[in-house]
Order: sequence, then C-alpha cells, then structure tokens
Amino acid sequence: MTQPNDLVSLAPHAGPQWVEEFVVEQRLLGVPGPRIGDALATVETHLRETGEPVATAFGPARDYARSIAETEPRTSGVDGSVIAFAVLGVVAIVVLPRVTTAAVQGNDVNLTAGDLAGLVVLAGLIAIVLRLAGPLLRGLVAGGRRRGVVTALVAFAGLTALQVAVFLLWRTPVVTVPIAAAGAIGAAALAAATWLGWRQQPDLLADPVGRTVGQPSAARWSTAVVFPGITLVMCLLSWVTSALA
Amino acid sequence: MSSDEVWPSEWLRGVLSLAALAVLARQSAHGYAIATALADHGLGEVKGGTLYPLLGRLESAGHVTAAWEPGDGGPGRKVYALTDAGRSHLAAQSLRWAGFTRCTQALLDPEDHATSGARGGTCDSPGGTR
Repeated sequence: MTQPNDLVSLAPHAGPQWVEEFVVEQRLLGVPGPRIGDALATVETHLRETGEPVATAFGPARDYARSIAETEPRTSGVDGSVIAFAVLGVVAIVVLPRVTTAAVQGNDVNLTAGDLAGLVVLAGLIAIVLRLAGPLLRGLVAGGRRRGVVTALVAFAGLTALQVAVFLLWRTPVVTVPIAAAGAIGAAALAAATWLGWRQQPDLLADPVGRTVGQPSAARWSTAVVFPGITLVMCLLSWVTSALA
Repeated sequence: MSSDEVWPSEWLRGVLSLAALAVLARQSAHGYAIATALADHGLGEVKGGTLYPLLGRLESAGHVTAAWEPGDGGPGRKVYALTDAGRSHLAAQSLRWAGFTRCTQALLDPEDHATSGARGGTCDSPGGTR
C-alpha cells in the first residue's frame, strides 16, 4: 500500500508553510515519521470537516507540534549504529585514498603525525556533532534556510582547510603500515559502514494508511552508497594527483 | 464563539478531559464529533489545537483508544473509544467532581454564607483532596 507521496499532500488544507513548520518541529523533537503523518492526517480531517483556517483551529504550527509531541514516543540522542556508521565511513574515507596513493607510488602507507592529528580532529568533530545533533539542527533551522546553507558551506570550507593544513604541514612519519594491511583495514571499514547504512531503517513520514513521503528503498540505498561514493571520488582524486606528480 | 468566551479557560482546563470522556461514554466518536458534542452541552467551541493534545494524553493514559476508519483513497476519520480503564476513571472522577462542585457551590452561595459561614466552610468531598 506504499506509494510516493509529497509532504503537503498529507494535509493540503493546512497549506505548505504550516505543514513544513510542523514537520520540522516534530522532527527536532524526535517524533517518529509515522506518528507525524498520523498527526497531520488528524489535522487534515479536522480542517476538512470544520472548514476552519489552520491558524484558527490549531494555532501556530510550532506550538501545536510541541503540544502534540508531549504524549508521543520520542527518540532522543543518536543511535549507536549511526555513530558506528559515521566513524567507520570516515575511517574508509581517510585510509583508502592513502592506500591508492601508496599503490600508485609502489610504497607502503606512511602514517604521518598530520594523519593521526587529522583523525583525532575528525573523531572529535563527529563526537561533538552527534552529541549536540539536536541543538545544532535547531540552531541551523532557526537561522533560516539561507543562513543554514551559508553556515554549512563555511563549516565545510573551514574543516577542509584545517584538514589540508594538518595533513600537508605535519608530515613527520610516525608509522609505516604494509599496503595490504592498510587496504584490508580500509576495505573492512567501508564494507561495515555500507552494511550499517543499508541496515538503517528509514524513518519516513507515513500517513495512517501507510503511504510514505519518499520511497523506503530509495532512502536505504542513498544511505548505503554515501560512503562508497565519497571514498571512490577521493580514491580517484588521489590516483590522478599521484599519477601526475 | 470560542470556549474562552463561554467559560474562563482555566475552568475548562480542569474539566475538559472528564467532559471528553463523558462524551465517549455515550458513544465512540471522531474528534470533530467530540468537539460538537462539547459545544452542544454548553462548554463552548473547543479548538482542534486544544482537543487533540488532550485526546493524545487520554490515549497515553490508556483511557481511550484511537483507530482510523478507511476513507476514499486515504485515511478517513480517527475514531476514539472509551476503554474499561477510561470508564472506571470517568466514574470515579465524576463522583469527585460532583463533590468538588458541591463544595465550591457551598462556598460561593451567599445564602449559605449567611446560614453556615460560622462553620468554617465544611465540605463532604468523597476521597478527600488529592
């Protein structure tokens, strides 16, 4: 009974802005997708039968989302498998391009002080982002879409510059890992991250008769291929740059 | 006319969940029908933004259940029904509410003031104050 649905079709009488604000607030509060769909269907039925405008019947979307969430089951924090998924994926992204470079140059993998420092920085950032996921997301949403995009771009550029500086400037070799061992570690991390990504159950919005916003299979695929995709691009870049060097 | 204009909202907050349970004790109903019944009984118009969070709390407490009826090509109406626990809760709380209103009435009635004011406002509340 599942078929693609769009967000507004869950409550057309409420209008796109009210629905979007309601959904964002409920997501930030950790309400599961099917419960959000159920609440929107209730809003839609009520508006259809009373003929009232949504603001008159339910008030501001965020306030209603908060009041209805008080009795809903909510998820708090980030699941352990999501943390493992992120950490293993980052390990693959860091290790496999180095293996590619080493393979092109015919060397083993030299881990430098910069590599290790970069990994520590990345692990710290992941821990901070996952621990403060709720407040960070709320801050981004509260600032509006444009400010959120600008913040994300500035953070990405800053992080990339930091990583490049650490990797390039701190090149004292610390340990040499045989290329086969490094390749095996990277491949195992990538395989595990992909498997964990595939296992994630997408929490899609669904109305009470099971119609979802988006396809569950598409959501699972996009989660599963994110780290293989990034790793592939990074390995190709490493291969090209080391072949040209 | 909104419920706020009929009765002060702080009065309604105290009694609305009991009133909703009383409507459902007569028959299972969807949200709009519950709101209509409350209005018909003189409680004023209860907005969706008040009613559905309240029904959610009653559902969480196990006093009502909610189930969707099928509609044309999508969800129809969410119908709420009283559970046995809800029926027992309603019966017990209705008794207490009756005692509470007697108590309040005795305090507010000017004639009662004149005849029994010296007694210090005694009250026959069942179950005491909780």
